Amino acid sequence: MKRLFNIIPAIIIFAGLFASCTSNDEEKDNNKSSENRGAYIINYGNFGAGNATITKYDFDNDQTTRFYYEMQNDKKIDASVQWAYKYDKSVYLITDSPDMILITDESFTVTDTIIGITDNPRNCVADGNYLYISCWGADPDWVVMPNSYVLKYNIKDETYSKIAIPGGCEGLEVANGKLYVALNYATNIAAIDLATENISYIETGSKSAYFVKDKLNNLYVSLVDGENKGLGYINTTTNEVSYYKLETISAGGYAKSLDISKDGSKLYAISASYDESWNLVGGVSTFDTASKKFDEKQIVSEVTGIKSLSVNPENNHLYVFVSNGAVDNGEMRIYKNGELKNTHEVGAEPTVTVYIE
Amino acid sequence: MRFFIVAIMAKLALCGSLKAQELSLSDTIRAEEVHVYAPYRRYQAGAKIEHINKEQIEASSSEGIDKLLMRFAPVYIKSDANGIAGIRLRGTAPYHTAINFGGINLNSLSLGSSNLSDIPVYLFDAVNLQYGSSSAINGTGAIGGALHLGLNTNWTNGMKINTRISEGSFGEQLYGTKVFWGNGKFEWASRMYYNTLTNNFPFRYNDKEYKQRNAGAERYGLLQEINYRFDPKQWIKTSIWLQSNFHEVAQTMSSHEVDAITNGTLDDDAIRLWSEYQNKKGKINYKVGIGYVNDKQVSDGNTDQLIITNRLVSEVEASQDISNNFGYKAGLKYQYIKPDVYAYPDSIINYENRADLYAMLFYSAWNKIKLTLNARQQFVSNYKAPFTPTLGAEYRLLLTNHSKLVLMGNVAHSYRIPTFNDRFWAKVGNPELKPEQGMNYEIGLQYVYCSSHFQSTIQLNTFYMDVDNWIEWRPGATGLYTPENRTKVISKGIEFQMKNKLDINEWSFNCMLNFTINPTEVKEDALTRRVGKPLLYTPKSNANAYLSVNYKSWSMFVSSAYTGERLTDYSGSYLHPDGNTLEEYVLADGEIGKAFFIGKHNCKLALTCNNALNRSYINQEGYAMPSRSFRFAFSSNLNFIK
Repeated sequence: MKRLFNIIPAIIIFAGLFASCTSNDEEKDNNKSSENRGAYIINYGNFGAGNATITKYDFDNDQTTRFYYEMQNDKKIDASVQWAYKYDKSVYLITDSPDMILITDESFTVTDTIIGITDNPRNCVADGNYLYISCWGADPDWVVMPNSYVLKYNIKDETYSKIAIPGGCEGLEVANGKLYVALNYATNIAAIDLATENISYIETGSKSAYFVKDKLNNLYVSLVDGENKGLGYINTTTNEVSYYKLETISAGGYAKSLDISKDGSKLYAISASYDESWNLVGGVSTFDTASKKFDEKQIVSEVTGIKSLSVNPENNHLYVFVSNGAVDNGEMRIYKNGELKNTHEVGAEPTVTVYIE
Repeated sequence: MRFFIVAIMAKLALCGSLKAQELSLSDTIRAEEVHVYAPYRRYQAGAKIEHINKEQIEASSSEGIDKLLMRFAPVYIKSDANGIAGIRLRGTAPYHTAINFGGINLNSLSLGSSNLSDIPVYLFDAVNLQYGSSSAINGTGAIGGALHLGLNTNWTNGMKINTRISEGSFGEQLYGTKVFWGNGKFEWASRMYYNTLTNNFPFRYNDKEYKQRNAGAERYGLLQEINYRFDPKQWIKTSIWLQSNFHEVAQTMSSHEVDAITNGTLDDDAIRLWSEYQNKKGKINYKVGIGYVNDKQVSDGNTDQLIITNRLVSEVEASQDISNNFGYKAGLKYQYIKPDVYAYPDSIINYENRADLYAMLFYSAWNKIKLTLNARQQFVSNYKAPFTPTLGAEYRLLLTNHSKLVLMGNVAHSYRIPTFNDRFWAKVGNPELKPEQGMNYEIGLQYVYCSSHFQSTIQLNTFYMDVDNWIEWRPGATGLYTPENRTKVISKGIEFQMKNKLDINEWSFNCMLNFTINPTEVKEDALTRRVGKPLLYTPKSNANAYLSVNYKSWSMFVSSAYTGERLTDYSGSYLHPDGNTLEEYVLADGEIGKAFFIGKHNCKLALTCNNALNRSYINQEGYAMPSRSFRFAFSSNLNFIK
């Protein structure tokens, strides 16, 4: 009995500790979501402040969850996410300030952090065992960007190499055994043969930004400045380019400004138009991929602060994202067949959307 | 009354400008006219202008103006460890405070503000901080206030040499010298300094310790004065200030955590010249000034993208005291501005002319009331600036042999012409932007007590300020950031200030207490979510306390500054969904010094401790600030005055 009295305090302390641990774990589990299906809006945040966020949009229930990354990881991103890409069962978050590659699983729980191999990263794409990341390089001059490159990162053995491509590497896409690199400070597009790493250049007369791949494995590219401003269509077998001019195509924003419908029939591009008072306002232009013509009327118009767009590959809804600046939350506008269905608040500077099935 | 005047004159050196106020309410600044560039207090009844005392200036001589103000004034300075330090006076932004040197506003024409860490305290003799709108006096940008940098003109007869050497923690070094030489009529004064800082202080982040990297700075400057006095009422003074600043771009704490340090740099060079002729011989006093400013900025060593602005400034001014009770001042200021900025298309801006017409009146009655009226109209080529009047008043409620109680107030209209970046940056600048315009209403009560061994000033001010057409860069129609007149803001507050000086035998005590409560609010904004929220980086409260003790040749001071919580964004995080905030903090500094003579020359050794409590604090989101640091300084004053 005496021994029992001796161990009672220990039992009480242990029980208390156990109870408190249980309580914390429960709280953590309550915050953490186990349902991955949804659209994940990557919000760049404020450069230098390290406050990028991820907003989850549950499109089945039309609900958003802000600060999703924090909930899953119990910490902030502490960087600005420039681009995100889902490949296999992982999501790659490419960040600047500081430059990192955050690798997460499909629940956005970080599984690995890679540092010290990128300089001002911009965009990424994966193919085979490799993740390709476009980078402006150290000390960009903002004129010709002589130090820009594509980082070739082996996902399996974590080795990497750099392929120098001056001109300000921006959007990336892989098609027909080639990696296409949009150049934001030169009037051509680089095409890297993935087998030999030989680089050829496609002269476009315009600076390029982002790619979208169609069902024929050919590429649409946004040409944002220069004589062929609008869309380019690259036959990836011959590397020949057809041009479809759109003077008002979005020239900036460094966000996903081009996407294609589920069936590949419509391509959406952020553009501008004049309102009744002749003020330039943002919107979305539609390109018919069969007739190869832009619709005369924007499908979405008069959107001040338009930042990015995305087409949900499951339900074909068009999401248009609005930025209210680096310190204010943005907006997500959901369109079905060109009709505004709903609006949700997302984080600051919504840049790119990742879909998890 | 005679006794009072004699007593006041005898104590003039002790009590500073306050005594001059008591001699004549219409001539409040007479004791400060030795400053070449003193504020126009005489024509600003009801204005709150704080004179940072000499002791405090000396205590911050190895640092920038930002540190001086952080320590001794109840204002918020937003800064990282060593990059950009911007003043946020009464809830406004850094481009809402004019930084005046002679007839020049130092603020960058492209950005609109100044980096206070690049203005060395060592070069100046006087720092005056004016709270509240004063565009009628200080021109565009003086919505939150104005900072006046002053130089004493001593008309040296002989030679004086001041030298300062200081070595501190984290690689801080300052070497400075001031040489004054003259014959009583001609004066040559050279002030120069060299300052370097490694800034490799330790900090903790996510429970790990790091050393700050890539946050160093190197600054040097020469301020050359050439002054000539024709007679006691007529002189010409010329100042040339050459300044060079090199900064590494400070890295965030998270960059240290993942060892992803980049090596950004920023070079700023400036040439500032101001020359002024004054003649006070006739009934009408007049002044003619001419100046030149060249500002050059290079980021990351990239000389293909230079940001250069050139300014020619000239000013003519006449003033007359028609009687002891009534006087006026009127002037014309002209600026020719030539920008050479890579991002400004020549087709939009090649040069700009600006002309300011201004007039000031003062009137006093019954030795109790003082009224001032100021008005300014600026003309800018291809741009319309608003007419800016200000009315100020002071009423002396009480005057005894030892004390004075004054009720003061003013109503001031203010404005800011959008910066060159706002109007002319390629593709996104908007030449049609409206000027920001503000109204400032202020009322205060000042009590002054002055006896043979004790002087005290207690001041309580309350203010209300609204600023309309506040300019902010936000995503425009096509997503590109563009400047817009989007917001109306309100800043209001109460400021309490107390300064005491007590002399007992060989002991001397100085004590200061400042406290500010300054809530701000977004009143109107196209983004309705912002309405009702405070402005970013504007603490609701600030406070400073300062105590110095001098005994014989020993001196010491302790100071403490409190900065309240600040909102850093409206987008928030999981724990702060309505906006992230920075925690409040209290910093304490201290110094002990010993003065001694070598022959007839006085010297001083001082040991300073900054952030003595070793507080971990953040002044700008994501950036660490220095931990406890020490500085050892030696200064000497070699005196060869005839």
